[in-house]
Amino acid sequence: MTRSRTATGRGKARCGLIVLLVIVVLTAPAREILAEDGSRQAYSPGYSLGAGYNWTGLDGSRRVIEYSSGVKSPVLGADIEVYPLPHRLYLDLSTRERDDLYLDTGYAYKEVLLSRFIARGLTHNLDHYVLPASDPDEATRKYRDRDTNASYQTDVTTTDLFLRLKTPDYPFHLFGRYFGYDKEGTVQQRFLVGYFNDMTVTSRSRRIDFRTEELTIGSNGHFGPLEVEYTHGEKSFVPAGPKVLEDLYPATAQRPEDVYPHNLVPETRTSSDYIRAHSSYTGRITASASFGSIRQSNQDSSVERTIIVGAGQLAFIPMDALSFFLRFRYRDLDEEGPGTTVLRGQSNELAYKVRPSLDTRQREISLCIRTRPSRGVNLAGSYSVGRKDLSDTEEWLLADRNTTVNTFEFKAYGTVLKGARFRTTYKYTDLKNPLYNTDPDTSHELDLYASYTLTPGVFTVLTYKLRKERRDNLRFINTRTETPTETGQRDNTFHNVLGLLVLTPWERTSVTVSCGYYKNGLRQTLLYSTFLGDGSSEPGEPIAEDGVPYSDESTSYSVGITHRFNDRTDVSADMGQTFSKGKFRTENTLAESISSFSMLRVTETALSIKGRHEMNNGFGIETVLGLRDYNDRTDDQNDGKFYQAMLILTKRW
Amino acid sequence: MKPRLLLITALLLGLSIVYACTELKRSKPILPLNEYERMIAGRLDADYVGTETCLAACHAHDAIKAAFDASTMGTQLRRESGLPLVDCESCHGPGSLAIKGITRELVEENSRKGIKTECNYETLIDIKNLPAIAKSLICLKCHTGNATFNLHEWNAGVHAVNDVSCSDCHDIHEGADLKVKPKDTAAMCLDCHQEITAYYRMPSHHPVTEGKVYCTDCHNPHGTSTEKLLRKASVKETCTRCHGEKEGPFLYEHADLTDDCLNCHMPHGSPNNNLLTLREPFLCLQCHQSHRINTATGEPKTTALKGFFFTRCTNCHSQIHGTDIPSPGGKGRFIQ
Repeated sequence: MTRSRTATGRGKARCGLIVLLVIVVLTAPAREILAEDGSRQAYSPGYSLGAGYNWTGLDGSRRVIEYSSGVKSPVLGADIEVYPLPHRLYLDLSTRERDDLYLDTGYAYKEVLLSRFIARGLTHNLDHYVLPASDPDEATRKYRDRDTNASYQTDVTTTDLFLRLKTPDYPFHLFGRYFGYDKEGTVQQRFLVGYFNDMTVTSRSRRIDFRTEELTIGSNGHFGPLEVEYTHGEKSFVPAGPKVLEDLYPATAQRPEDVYPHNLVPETRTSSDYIRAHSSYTGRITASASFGSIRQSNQDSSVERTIIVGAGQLAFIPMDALSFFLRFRYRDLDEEGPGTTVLRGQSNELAYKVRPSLDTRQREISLCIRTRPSRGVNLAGSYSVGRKDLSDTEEWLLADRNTTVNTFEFKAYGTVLKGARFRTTYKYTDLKNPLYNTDPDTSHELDLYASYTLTPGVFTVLTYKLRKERRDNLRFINTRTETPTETGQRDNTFHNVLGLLVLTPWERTSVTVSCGYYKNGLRQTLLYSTFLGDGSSEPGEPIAEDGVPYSDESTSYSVGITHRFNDRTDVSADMGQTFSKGKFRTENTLAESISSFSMLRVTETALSIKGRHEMNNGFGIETVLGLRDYNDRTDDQNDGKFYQAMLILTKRW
Repeated sequence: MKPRLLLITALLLGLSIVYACTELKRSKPILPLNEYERMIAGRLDADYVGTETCLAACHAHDAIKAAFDASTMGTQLRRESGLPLVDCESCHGPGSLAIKGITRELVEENSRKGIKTECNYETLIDIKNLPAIAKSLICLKCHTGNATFNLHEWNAGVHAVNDVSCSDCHDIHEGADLKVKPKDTAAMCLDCHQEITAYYRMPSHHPVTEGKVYCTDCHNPHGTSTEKLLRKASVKETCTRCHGEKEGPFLYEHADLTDDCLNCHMPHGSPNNNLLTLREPFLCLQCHQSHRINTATGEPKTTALKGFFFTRCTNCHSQIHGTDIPSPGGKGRFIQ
């Protein structure tokens, strides 16, 4: 069994943090507060420390705890705020299981220095997609899982450091930000060895150690009514260790048998510059503009991408009842590659021509007008028009090189009755020359939100989102003949409903019930390739099947009860369940069994009971009991149950 | 460039910088927002009484007092903080009418009797019932560029347009440097964006409700020039901040589709693995013609063969976000 284990470095970091914590607690001077007579008196810094243990049990697949290591471990927490003025320091730390870390700490000195450091760690348990058994009658179509018992997991550590220096009494800043993202572990690498004459769908474990680092520096200052900011950023993505795999590929008509590289994870670098300017935030007329240039390069294939972005906003608020907002933005993407590439096998070198990547150019302008016809009611209408142009399309067989999107939006929101708030939006979108099949010709979207406090003890929320999309003349590219084919329609209906009811029947007890329903339903023409059927490998006419239904549904509900015995003791219990299902069905007799490979039926259940009690001397106790169940109803591959009991002792000063 | 021209350019640049520095502190709106500024001026017939008056007699015993003292705004009442000083009345307006007739002795006597002495709050600025823009304006009076500089896009941003004010997210009387803790953002954002909670209950979701990923990792609530208040210039830049291995550029690109990750993924949550909008193979069949569904002799493919060609497309096309290596057929099919 292959398991990623990267806790050593994180463990050291955690030890370091605990030492830091102890130093802060022992050395922090007392804060000062104003006494009743206006004089200053010292009082103790605000500390809270907690320690405990998390007992866990896992039965079955780790999918049930997708973002958790799920192992027994100590629990630690600290919350500190100390203000020995002019210094200000706070620290919020918690770690509830192995590979879990949350640290948010900041230090500030007067108005001159402001710093913040946020670190966190998480575990992500990944699925192991099980490949079917090879059919003995299909000698040239095989499956092979080289690590059948492997479980896959990555550990992620994120660090975010922000530092700002300000000139005293002057609005001029220098700032810097470092963002680091480390992901390491073992993932499932699926790939195809061979080609149509001899194919093996293969799976194997792959160790990864990805590191993304981003450093941004900049300055910001006022020049009269204009504020200007400049930032420069450098980002790198480096896959440490072997970044490419190699396998023996059988001979095809296009190349000889050899060991060839595959599934390369390239090293990339990004450099960016932004300049932003805006007028005062507070005026009747405010304007802002930003301009950015981003340059990205692939260190392995020498491909380079340049992105130019720009945006402008103008807000004009002549009176409370009337506001105008004008926005403009553009984005140009230009990608340059070498045009050819050489595939270096162990014994052969093969040169290939590479078609140029698509370059895009996008423009969008929108105007929004908002009025308040009466107190508590707001009406807003907006219109936006956007255009996207593609270039270098010759080898991509795209029918259109540009698309235009017109969007009209109407919105009403406010308070009609005491305690009743509403928000409703209707959006109509029209696309001229939609570029891809997933783009509709027309789209209608309705968004409703209503909340009502019936009495102080009854609060309800209802949200509903409906989207209907329609597209005629879908466009496919026949991969065999490399020619475009236009046929069929696509209808998409999307619902998302959420209802929430919060009851407070007694002063110390509240009950929260929520229900959600999501459905994404599609009916679309699919196009199937065929052989001519005369024994040759010549292609036949593709077969279109209209109105193939596809749907995803998810229904969830949750019930939560909280009871506060007194100011020092409370308990809560929560239960939630989500049912998800999905299917698509084809009536084509040749393709009819496709749907069986695309079923989804999952039930997830979560139960938790939490309690908290504070004692007189500042000590407290917190408990958590939890149960999670993941029931994969299609093939039981990901079924699992997880049990948890956590006990934490806290002390507040 | 000739040396003389270079000298003149440097001189002009230097003069501009000197002029800019002399103007550095002056920040005035182009046109004042008269209507809202009147709302936040407070009673013109009232006088300022000072913070000590507010705190010494009455608000020393408030439940929020300790939290307020520990907040940045609380420390800004004290000169030793080294911060720009503020006053209770900076936000609440002049308070002389509010405390008219109230003496320290009266407060203490009432306190002994168990009676809470209340100010005449109606004479202060009615912050709770101000329009959102006016509420924000109270904060923006100081937080233009002087202390905060991430508000470039606030005014025309979707939150400001939809009447969200600073105090909807920031508790002025509590917390270090008025910051919202990242781990608290989910509860705060979902309070208004209730419909998003449904996505976080689905089988595949970003661990936001688990407290491992924060709304502010992707969104900047203070406004940006992008749609959905994205922190970065585009969806792809936002996603690849963490998913760097999918950023590229690649030799073989998936047309321009991977420039917008939302073509195939739902960022908050989905019933389908990997946050896919639809399950494979339907996801791919939306745009692509399928593999052949019969044999060379025209017979239907066996169930096993259909399973081979109509299962997860990414079993074989595993480099679907882009690749630098040509496929066995010599093209960019994302197989290799």
